[in-house]
Amino acid sequence: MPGRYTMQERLAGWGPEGQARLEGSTAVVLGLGGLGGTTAMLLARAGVGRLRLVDPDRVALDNLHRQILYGEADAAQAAPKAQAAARRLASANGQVRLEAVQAEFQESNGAELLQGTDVVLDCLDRPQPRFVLNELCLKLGLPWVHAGVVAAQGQLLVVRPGTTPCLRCWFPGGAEPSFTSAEHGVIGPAASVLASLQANEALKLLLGQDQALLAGMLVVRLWPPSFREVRFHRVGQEPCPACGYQAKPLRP
Amino acid sequence: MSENISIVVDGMAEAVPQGLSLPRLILLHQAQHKDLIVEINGRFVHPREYERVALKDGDRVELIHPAFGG
Repeated sequence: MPGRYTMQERLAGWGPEGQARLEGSTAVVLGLGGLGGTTAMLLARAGVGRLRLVDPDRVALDNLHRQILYGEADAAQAAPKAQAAARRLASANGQVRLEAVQAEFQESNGAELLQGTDVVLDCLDRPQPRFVLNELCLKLGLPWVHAGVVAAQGQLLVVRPGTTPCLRCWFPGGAEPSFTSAEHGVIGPAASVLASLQANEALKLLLGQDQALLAGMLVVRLWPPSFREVRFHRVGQEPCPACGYQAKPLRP
Repeated sequence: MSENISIVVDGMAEAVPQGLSLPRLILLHQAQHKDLIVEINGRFVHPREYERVALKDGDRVELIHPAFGG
């Protein structure tokens, strides 16, 4: 009789060995909104051994169109997202160890929140803490997967300190809230597509399938649909102030 | 008299003056945000390079506004 993970174990490069590796892994999901909820659900169902779920907010009615972990009762009670997410994920896979943390990721608690993890999922909802995460992951040598979404588009990036360009390489001027969901909205399919891609990259990192990782920045637009991978190019540039171009050149 | 060249910006064909600089194109598209990502023919262009880029006939340019929502 097929087991819980049989169908994914059949994937080339996964197998029972990969599954055991996942079960021994820890992932931290920062932000449990439209991205984080779906990402966390996919990682839990895939059998990542331990998930730390971090979000300071409570569920509200205007979350429900895209934040698939929560229901009307959660919104009516203004349930903390971290706890509501953990309840939902526990019902999807009781074998996963879930840690719900109702806190905002910031510089002061960042190292503590990332302690013991193998990979970080950046599902945060504004630019500033994403750059804090970038610095921290460079310091700790932790791989992480960045995803962002507004309206019907978003971008995805895998950052492996010492191997790939970091977030600051791509955004040397930092970021400004020039394109926000407060102004442009956000739709459920866009959040779920980006989150699925993000979980996919995290699973590859945990499985050690580095050759299959996204190399550049994937820019996803859904209205109308297009997927573009932008390749990093750094001829004649000064070193990145954050990572100092520890990165080796990507494949051309 | 300067001739026009044809480039593609965000998937749409556009005629622009020969030798148009990248900063000028960004301005024309009102895309002058500090977190703008510019891609020309599949390659990321670092902001420090913008002034040095003159657009050529057939260039495919993407002006990408990153999405930092979650």
